[in-house]
Amino acid sequence: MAAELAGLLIVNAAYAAVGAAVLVLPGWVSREPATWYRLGAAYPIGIVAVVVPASYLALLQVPVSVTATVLGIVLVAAATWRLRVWRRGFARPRIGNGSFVARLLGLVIAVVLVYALRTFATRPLLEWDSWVVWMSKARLLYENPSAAPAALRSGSYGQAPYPLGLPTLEALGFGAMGRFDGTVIAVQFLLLAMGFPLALWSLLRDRARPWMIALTSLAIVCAPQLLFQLLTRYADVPLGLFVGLGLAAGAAWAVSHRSERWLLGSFVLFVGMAGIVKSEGFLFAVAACVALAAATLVAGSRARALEAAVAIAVVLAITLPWQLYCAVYGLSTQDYDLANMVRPTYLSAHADRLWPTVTELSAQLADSNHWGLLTWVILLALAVGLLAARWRLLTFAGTWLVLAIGGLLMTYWVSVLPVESHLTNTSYRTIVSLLIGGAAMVPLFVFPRPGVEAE
Amino acid sequence: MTIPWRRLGASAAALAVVAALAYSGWKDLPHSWRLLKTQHSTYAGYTAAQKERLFATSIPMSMDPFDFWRFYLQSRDRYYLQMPPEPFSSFANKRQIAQAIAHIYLLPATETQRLDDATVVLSLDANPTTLHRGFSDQHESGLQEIYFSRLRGS
Repeated sequence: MAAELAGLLIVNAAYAAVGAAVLVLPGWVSREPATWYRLGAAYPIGIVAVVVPASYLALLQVPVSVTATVLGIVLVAAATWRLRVWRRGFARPRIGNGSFVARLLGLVIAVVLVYALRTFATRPLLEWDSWVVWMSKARLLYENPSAAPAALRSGSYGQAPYPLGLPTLEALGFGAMGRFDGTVIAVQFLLLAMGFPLALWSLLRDRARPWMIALTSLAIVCAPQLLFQLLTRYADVPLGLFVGLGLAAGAAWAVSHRSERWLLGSFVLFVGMAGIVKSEGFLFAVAACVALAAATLVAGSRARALEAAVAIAVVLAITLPWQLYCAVYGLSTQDYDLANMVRPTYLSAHADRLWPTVTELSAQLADSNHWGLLTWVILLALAVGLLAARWRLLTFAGTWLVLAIGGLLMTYWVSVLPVESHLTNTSYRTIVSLLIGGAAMVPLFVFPRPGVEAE
Repeated sequence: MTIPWRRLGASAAALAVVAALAYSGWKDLPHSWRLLKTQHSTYAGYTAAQKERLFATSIPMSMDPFDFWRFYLQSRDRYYLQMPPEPFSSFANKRQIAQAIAHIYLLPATETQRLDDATVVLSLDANPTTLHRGFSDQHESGLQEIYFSRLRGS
């Protein structure tokens, strides 16, 4: 197991290097030490940078490891050239901007997640959906890339319209481990959680208090349900983590007075990734794009509106090819027909599904044994935004939450599965992105740094 | 002097957020720690082979047929699973369960839904002669109706 674990850790270090390269190439990180804090987001950015192209090229029978390796080498080489790393003159790195409380909370998070490592490397794969849907796709991509596209389209290997973001990440992990190991791959999921607090700090650092970012991160990544769901290898928590980072980046950009393209770029990458992790991810990504457009309209700046439009176009360029691929090959789920969302007669005939859905999702959101008080935290933060007149932030967060919750309700409404069992099997998972996404924006609402207040 | 009610309200709500976050962390940490500990202690004694089979054996479904098939399968094989859809559970029949296990366990060989596309037939509780195809190679697992049959010309 040690060799497999070492391989997995090495490839994840490589993701961080690729992410750093992605930040260097547009100049978002340079030789200037003031930009180095952005490297905190390098790890998840690196994952997005290799997984998105690898998952699409896998549909053309290109092994995911080939795409990731070639792309990684090219990006890192280009960034090395751009940064002229062989030249002297780098300033000594300084770790600043953190209070004692923030560092203490960061230490607590690190202790819990490092302690979790042995559990994640030990617990076998047991859950039905993880085995049938996600892991079978992942092993197929890893072990038989030439047969994968046709087999995936057949519907035998998990639901055919489920996107390939997560299986691609898992397949890359198997490649790094040198073999398929359904147990040790759980460590990849833990590493995603480990990368979240640092990335969140990096994205919000200029606009939120470090202790507030650390406290929010602690409540998110140490929530019992988050750790348990990560252990199951379901896609919902990875989706939630990317949604959370995307929303944090989008919200930070929305409240910024300066044109901070690195935040907009991070928004594009994380939200785009969310769109190819799960089917609901596309819904959350579209909701995030609408929220960004709404917040930009509130700001009333033409230059920012243009930047937002470009960002939204790139998000759609990342996510839409999968939707087009599904449309071209007629890949659809038997669980629901999205066209029913706009058929009043259908919705009226199935209106009895709505109330059980509302009550069950509300109960899951408010379950303090699973998620602490995160729902109340989000609602109170929105109240802070209302009372403190943080309109751009409120518009962004409120629009996303309303659209995401509404979209989720609609998917249960139009589903043809029996509502009780459907809710029992999935409601505790589908709310994850709402909670992580909503909570990731909280540090911007509560005791923000000076400047965010005065919009 | 007017009292800045909105600012006071915002500060009070902000303090409530901090308190709720701190309470969540305080309450969740021991819970999460216990969860990690119990999950580890439950599975720490399993061998790698036991873990690989635990999904199937906990359903429960015997892994013997899958081990038998895996022994004869080649990496580029496309198998057709010949098996009656016997009742098994409330959410899937026995054939669907077997397919789910096979999809991971038998890779890199892949399943095909059409017999015409297959290179081998894997039979469980069924006899491959009923398919009326020619086989170049066939193995039976003891006296059970578990067969591995390589289709002629594949």
